[in-house]
Amino acid sequence: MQDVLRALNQLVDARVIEAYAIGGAMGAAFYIDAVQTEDVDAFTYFPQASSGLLDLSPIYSALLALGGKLEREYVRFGAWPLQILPDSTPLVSEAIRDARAVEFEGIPTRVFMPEHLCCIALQTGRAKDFLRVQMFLEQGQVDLAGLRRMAERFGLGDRLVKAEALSNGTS
Amino acid sequence: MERAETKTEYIVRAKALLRADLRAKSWPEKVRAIERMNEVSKIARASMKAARAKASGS
Repeated sequence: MQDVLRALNQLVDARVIEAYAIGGAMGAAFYIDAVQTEDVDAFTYFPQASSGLLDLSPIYSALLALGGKLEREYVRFGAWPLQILPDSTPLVSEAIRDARAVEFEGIPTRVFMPEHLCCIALQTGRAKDFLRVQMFLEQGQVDLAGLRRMAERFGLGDRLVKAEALSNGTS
Repeated sequence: MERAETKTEYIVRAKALLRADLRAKSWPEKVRAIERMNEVSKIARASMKAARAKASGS
């Protein structure tokens, strides 16, 4: 994990990317009980190619130059495949912008705020994503009023109601 | 067949213990626990594959 974070920090230092933040199950593990995951999701603002398409190649080239090994859509550093994900929605852009600065064994990094992790999970909407939101709610690791406001703002109010009902055992 | 079942039971038990171990840990501790869980899953998958290969070969 340290190798992944060092590589991401080097991408920022070299200005290959502007910023990144850890999301997904690995980001959630900062706040709630860990659940099994086989990769690290790092979200970043994507540079655009002159064609207007998202251009991944500078990021992947830099990661490979830092010792990463390409495996399908991942770049592996030691035990962890790293997946670079774009700021594909306004919600993700805001999550990257507002991510919390933390440390992992002395290595500085950034993790999505719990409210953003929950809203992104609601937006993705798979069973395991609803389960993750339930875990945040049940473990009291999210500001519920703030989450409700954010979910409304991004049109996810109905999904949050469903997650809350599942959490309360009323659905 | 019996040995494969014992192995599977052991893996299920080990995974349950690992899950219980995940509570109240720091982030790096949780990540290390997930790494151990992934290792266990890898062993489980390999064992199941070997058991299936053995069963289909016999």
